[in-house]
Amino acid sequence: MREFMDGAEAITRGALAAGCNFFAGYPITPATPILLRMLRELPKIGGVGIQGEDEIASIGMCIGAAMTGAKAMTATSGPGLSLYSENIGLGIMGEVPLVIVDVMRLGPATGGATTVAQGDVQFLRWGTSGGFPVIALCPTNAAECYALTQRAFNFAERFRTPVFIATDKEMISAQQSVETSTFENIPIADRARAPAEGEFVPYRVKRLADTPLFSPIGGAHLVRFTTSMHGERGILTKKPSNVNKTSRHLYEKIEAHRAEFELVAFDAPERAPTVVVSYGITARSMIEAARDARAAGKKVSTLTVHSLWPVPARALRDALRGATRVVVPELNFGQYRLEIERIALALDPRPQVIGVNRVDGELITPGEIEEQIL
Amino acid sequence: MHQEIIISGFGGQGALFAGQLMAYAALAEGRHVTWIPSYGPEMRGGTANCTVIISDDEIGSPLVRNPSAAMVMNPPSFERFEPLVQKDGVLIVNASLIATPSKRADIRVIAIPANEIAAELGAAQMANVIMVGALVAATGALKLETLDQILEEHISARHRDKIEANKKALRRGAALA
Repeated sequence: MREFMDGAEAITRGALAAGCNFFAGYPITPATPILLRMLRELPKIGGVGIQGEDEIASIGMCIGAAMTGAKAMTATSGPGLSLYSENIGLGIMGEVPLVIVDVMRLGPATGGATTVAQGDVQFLRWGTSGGFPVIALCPTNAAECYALTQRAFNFAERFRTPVFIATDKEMISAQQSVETSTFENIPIADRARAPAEGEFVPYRVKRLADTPLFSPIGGAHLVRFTTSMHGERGILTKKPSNVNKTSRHLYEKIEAHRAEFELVAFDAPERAPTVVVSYGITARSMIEAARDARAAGKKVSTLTVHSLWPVPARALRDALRGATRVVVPELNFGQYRLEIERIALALDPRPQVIGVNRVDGELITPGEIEEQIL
Repeated sequence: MHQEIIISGFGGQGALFAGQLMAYAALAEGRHVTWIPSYGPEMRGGTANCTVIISDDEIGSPLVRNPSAAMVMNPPSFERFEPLVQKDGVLIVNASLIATPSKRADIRVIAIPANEIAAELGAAQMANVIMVGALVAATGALKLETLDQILEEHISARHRDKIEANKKALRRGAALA
């Protein structure tokens, strides 16, 4: 069926398909359409949608709901994400499943509230203290908004951690005709629960890369969540061996599973000297640029990155190997180009990495990318 | 068929609605379509525009730099978009507010006193619909009957008494193209 929808609707529908039953958020352009849809849709399925008194309260409500077993989501834009920062850390340290949609808009502070940007890419990665790994997915169209939101919930459940959806103003507010019969339904994953019988140790894992079993607040066990460095019983500790174990566990449970986060689309009809790497709304200009360039007889491959964090290093290495020129268009000063350069450095021959960047609130045109395809 | 259309005016003139009307009609006609709003932090009185792409083929980038057709409802929109229209493209001008004549000889310019016609038809808010009528007639992008159907489906309950007037407005515009 051909429907007309914006990214906000596709994300909302993906969230509901994944079993989301709690949403709290505070209005902010351009994320508000997601809040409004969730407030309208959740009561219909017996879920809870709340407009919090501010961003800090809203993400706090989501964390609380997730601790009781809910599948929670919130949505905001840059300034709201700044306010989320401390509680994102709480989610990581407490091992709380949560989906956070960041609808990127231009600039620091109130910036360009109604204009597009992709300036939060490194902020998502390093936006809370400690530098622990995070997961961030990035859709380029409505079908991917639907599918990747489901995947975000599944990752949040499986690894008990906040998962970001990095999107932008144009993706959320542009409406387009989409074939919804091709929308992909991903099998739903639920967090592994502790058996009701027997002793429950909230942060016990067999291997550091494992995710602990979950028991909800208000359930069969006494449950302890903590934001402080803790041992397996969730009690504050400064004992170096315990602290080391917890730190490494939070690191390993993501890093040891990197292969699962390698979500990319590599379009290489033939080996080409130029590879263009992009993500989100900018990837659409990239795809059009490649089509035009090929029509003009040029050879080019494209790699669309759907999982920004952790960096899909293996897929990037495979795509870049043998290329002489890598073009990275993005709506910032070159934040993801840094990651591509890291990959390129280790390759022989080492390809030249070139950025195509805009920070004026306008989209990068296919023509601006095509100019860099030689 | 591939049309890249920009519709621009003051907030409150119905530029975004005019674009949505065309987008829904394009969908009803089985075409691929994108609609992107662009607006400032202001509300009524600020500038607002939207971009609509209607195509028989899948649409890649929803961005339009040089539209094949533009509909400008106020002087700032005229100044901004008149130079950008593609050669052999169409420019629909709201002559009620825009006195400047177009300097472009390589495009088709249709100047319509849309505010006056709308007032004559009974509702000043219909200037946008009159201009849509001219735009679709000049470009052949959509059928008037499809727009009728979309008006019936999308005009809010409190404005239902205006549906017939809106249909008339479409046809008045189309006759001027």
